[in-house]
Amino acid sequence: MVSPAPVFSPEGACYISPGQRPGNRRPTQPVALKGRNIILALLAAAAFGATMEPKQAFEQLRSYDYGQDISPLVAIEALVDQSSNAAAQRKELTAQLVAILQEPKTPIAAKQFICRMLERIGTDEHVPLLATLLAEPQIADDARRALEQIPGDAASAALRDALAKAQGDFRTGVINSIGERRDRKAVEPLAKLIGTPDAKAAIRALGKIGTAEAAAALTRGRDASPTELAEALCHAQLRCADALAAAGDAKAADAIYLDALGQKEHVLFRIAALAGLVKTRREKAAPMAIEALTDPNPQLRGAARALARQFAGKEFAASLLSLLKKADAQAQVAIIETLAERRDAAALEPVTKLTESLDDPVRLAAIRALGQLGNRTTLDLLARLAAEGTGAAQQTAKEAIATLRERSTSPEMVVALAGAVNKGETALAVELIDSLAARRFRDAVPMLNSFASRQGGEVRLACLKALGALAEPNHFPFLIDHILTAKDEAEAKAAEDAATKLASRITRRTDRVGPLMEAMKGADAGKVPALLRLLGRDSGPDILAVMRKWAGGTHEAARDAAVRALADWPSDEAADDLLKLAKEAKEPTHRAIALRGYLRLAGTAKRLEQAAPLIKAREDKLAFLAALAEAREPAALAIATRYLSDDQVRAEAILACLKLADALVGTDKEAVKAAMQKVLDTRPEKALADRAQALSEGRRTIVPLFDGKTLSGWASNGIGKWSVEGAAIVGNGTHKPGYGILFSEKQYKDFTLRFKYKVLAGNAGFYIRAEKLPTSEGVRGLQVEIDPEKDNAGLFEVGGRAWVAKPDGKLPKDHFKPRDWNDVEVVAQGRHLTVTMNGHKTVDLPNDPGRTEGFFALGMHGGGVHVMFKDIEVLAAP
Amino acid sequence: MAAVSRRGFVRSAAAAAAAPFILPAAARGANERVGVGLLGSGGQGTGVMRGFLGQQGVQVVAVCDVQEGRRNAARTLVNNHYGSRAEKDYKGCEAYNDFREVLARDDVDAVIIAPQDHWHAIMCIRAAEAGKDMYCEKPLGVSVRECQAIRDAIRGYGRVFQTGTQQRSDRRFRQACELARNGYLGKLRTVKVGAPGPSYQPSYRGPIAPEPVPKGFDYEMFVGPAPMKPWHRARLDWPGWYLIWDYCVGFICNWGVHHLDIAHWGCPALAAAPFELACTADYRNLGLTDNVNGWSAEFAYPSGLRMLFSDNGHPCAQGCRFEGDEGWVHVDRGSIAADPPSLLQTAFQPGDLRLQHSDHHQADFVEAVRKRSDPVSPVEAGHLASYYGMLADIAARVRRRLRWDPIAERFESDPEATRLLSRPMRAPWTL
Repeated sequence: MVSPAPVFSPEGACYISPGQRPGNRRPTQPVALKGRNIILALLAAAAFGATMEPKQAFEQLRSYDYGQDISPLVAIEALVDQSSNAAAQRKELTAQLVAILQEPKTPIAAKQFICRMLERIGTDEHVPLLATLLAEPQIADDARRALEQIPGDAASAALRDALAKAQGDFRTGVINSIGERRDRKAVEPLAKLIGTPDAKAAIRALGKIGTAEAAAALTRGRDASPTELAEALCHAQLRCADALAAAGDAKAADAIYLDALGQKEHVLFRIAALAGLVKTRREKAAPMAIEALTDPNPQLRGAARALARQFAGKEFAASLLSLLKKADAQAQVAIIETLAERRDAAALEPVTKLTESLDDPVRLAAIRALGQLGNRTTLDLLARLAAEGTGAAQQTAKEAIATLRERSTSPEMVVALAGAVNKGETALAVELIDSLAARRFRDAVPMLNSFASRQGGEVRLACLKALGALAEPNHFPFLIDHILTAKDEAEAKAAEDAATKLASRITRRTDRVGPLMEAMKGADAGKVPALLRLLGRDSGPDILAVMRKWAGGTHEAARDAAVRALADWPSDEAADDLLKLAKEAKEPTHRAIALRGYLRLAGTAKRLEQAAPLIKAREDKLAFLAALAEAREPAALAIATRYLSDDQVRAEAILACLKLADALVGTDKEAVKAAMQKVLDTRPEKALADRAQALSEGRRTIVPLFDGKTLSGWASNGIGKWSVEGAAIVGNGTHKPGYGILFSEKQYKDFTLRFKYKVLAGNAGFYIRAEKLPTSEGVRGLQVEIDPEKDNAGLFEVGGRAWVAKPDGKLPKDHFKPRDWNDVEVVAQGRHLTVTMNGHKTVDLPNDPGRTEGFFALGMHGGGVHVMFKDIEVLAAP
Repeated sequence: MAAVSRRGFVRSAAAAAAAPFILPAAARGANERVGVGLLGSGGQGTGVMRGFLGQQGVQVVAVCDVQEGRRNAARTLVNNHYGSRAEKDYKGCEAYNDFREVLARDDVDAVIIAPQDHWHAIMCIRAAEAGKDMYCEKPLGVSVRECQAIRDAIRGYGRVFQTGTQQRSDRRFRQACELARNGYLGKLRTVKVGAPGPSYQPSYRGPIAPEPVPKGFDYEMFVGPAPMKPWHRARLDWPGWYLIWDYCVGFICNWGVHHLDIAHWGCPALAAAPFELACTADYRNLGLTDNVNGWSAEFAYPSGLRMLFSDNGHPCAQGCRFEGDEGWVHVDRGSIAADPPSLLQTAFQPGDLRLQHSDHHQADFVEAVRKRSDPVSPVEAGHLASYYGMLADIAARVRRRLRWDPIAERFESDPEATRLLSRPMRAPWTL
């Protein structure tokens, strides 16, 4: 067999050889054929992956009709490709195709395909045949398109000849082809069509031909035609002008452009004309551009400014500057803006003078322009304006400083900062410090540190803030030092904030904790609270000991900091201390938060029991019950049942008992049964009573759909990223087309569904009774709307009725908690659907005509979504 | 010790606010309302339109699609959005079948062009002739000639034009290009571009015998300038039309355009000198799908610069990778990597070239409309990114090394390849 001739760069290493590509990939290598036998060549073609034998392909093409397997077409096109570098093969192939084209029995579908091939491989030889096909309505347009692509006069003549008899849309097509071919010989016949129903097509074609004769024909046409055609004629003339300019006939082009420029009512033509004149006349078009700069029409002004950017030279700037003096206010503004965009250095002085203009718009434009034109010395002027100016002038000056600063180097800024501090220019100094921080210029840290120590007031505060952003871990002791040496509350807070920010960047515990512990030794009691707060971000026995000491100490603020730190402790090593504080702390607030902390950490029924005597207030009872509900032991259930007789919290106690019962019914039937009996004794509402009953009979009532750890039970449609983090399903969107959907494995009919969600970005939804589709959305059905801003907990049918139930405007604002967890319950019984969010009913549809069963699904709609779901569960069927 | 939800360190939001945005030169017209029409309300078009619905001073007043259900759904979406917050003179959104009616409206200042690829060029040129600005989905069309015609019309009529290559509004891509442009990678040697291709296969696998045209679907208008063939739903069921030559060159162009655009943004030399181009490809043959499947192309420049462009993994990984003497950077959606890694911490200096800063592609377009300036993906960028993929397809079909001059925009003596630069349109449609 013939081996492929290498066609690529010498290394060729980047290409995988044919056999290695997976899937339905049949790479086609170019084949170098010189004087080889056609049969061999066709066999070779077959070896290199044509889907079928050429002989078979041609056979099938003879009878190919729409709806059949397109393999023969694909195979033949591959042969056309292969014959690109083999004239003899190409000739033979073309002849075979033409023969099939001529056979009367060949279906139109096949003829259409052959005509498309002839677009590429047809020659003069085929023109006569194609010309006759122009007279056959079913294939005429395909034949025309083939002729359109065959270069040379024969095809052009055939198209011109066809004009005589062509009718309807086909006739328009012939005119279009003539235009595309830029057939000069067609100008006269086309010109004759201007007064006929073919006028628009003919005018367009003349525009494409673009010769001087075509332009002249169009001009004559304008004089003779009704006004409806005036626009079309002008567009076509402009096209001619462009073609003439490109061909080097600037004079003819110019004439057309000037004419168009004068069309006061049609800004579009004036814009096109201006663009054309700038191309043909270059710098000489400057006066026209400048005049257009101050035209009343904003589009023309905008176009002029865009074109003005093309004039790079100093002469243009000079013209602009000389105009500047004489121009009126509006024109001055336009010129200043153009100069600023061009960054013309020569403009700096005149524009600086104009910052004192009495015309407000001019003054503001000048101030703004200094941002782009100015240099370091300009900064002084702008700083003065920013400090002393008022209103718009002050604001503009600040923005100009920002722009100018963007163009300054960071080292330059440091120098400027030193100068500003020296001269006591506080406002400027602060701005420079903020900019250095924004630029993350870490080299400035030593200077900032020094200023933070030696300066006071605003400068010190700004330095501390910047250090928070820029400092490295080894600077931590310095920041702690600033806390210790802070002179007032504001400084102390700024120093603490900076240290906190830096601490979050320090990865090693010893680097975080060491300097703090060191500072604690001998620290002034007034500074201790800050240090404790910083220490409280870590845990461990050493820090626990410190907290314990200060929590029982005499200094009030330190005590407070220590107790709060303990209450937030991440692990239960603090539990005993918290229990003690809950009982014995002096301040009621401390007792309360210590109790809450203890409840959060306790974890077991035994520990919770120890706190039971302290549970007095209603809020505490609620927190206690919530903590019990998480401690999945029979002892916890027993404790919870005690509150069934407490009027204050009976409802919550029932729910806590039910939740515990669901978790325990599999392992502790008897305990559950006893507890449920107690629940039933309180005569709760039916739904709860049913659950209690079921549980007492040993049946689960809640079926979790998400196990808190894995995506088991859910399957993605392949778009978007779903993962489990912190006991929640997290969805992150992608930019691929379509929606990222996570379907439940099972389908559901009637249900009570509960879930929690938090959305940080993008639009999402929780689908109910949905179906899977192979469309770009991939899903169709009702979804509970999830959005960072609006319409949450409404029902929207994707791929269907769109909004089915938009949430009422009368819902309280707090029905949705942005950037926080929201509780949703959906009840679907037959055609009755309700949605409740955070206790507020958002949807109540008694008779929805939609589907009555389907999948649950979590959905991300489009790119950039960040959404989380947890505690997804359904109530078991009774 | 029982594990409780850990109280984590609060990640401080670093004071790294972006440098203040340069105040636009022309604030006038900042409050003028911009009326927008959507041409093509399928998934992409509607998605793009959503990005306009939130913009200040913008009103979507018209939607157009050849499928009644889609245009009605889009209209409902718009009307529901504006709902109670519409201004007094907002008359509601209209739904049209024929895009020309949208272009005829005086209250439409800009159009979103999002039909199938074979329609882009006609709509862009008619929109330009009607004095509209436009946000046009990529690629610009289905032939090089179409891309040129769009470019000429936009510049000729001074229209504001945003190509839907939204990666330019993503900071990572801008960062990668600024590193490449400013010599932080040293002299650029190779640009490697990878895009998906074969991973998209038709969803419909059944028989393809002609079907009756569904009610409410103007199939004649859907086909437009493409060859007329009997309807079957496989022409539209996603990703259907993307894989059919009649409506789309193929992902070598339709997807490749995104990362080719980044390649050009970071390495303008790719369009500054004549180059040689070679490409191998294989073609689809499943149901109605027949355009390019996988490909591998090389662009070689006299200076030694090369661009490799392939479907993912063969050999180029997805995204755009700039390789220079002193390092490389590889950027894709949602990721950027570099060697040395410190390149990603580079602080740019005042003398450095900074690329146009956009954080939101639609907002960037609206601002450009008001200022009459170029948005971040102007027509020349869309043109280059679109037609380079088309050239690769041509090279694959003619199976020989081609020479292309990007300044004169022509092949060096290759009549067959030259023919493939244009695609005739079905009557009565024309550019």
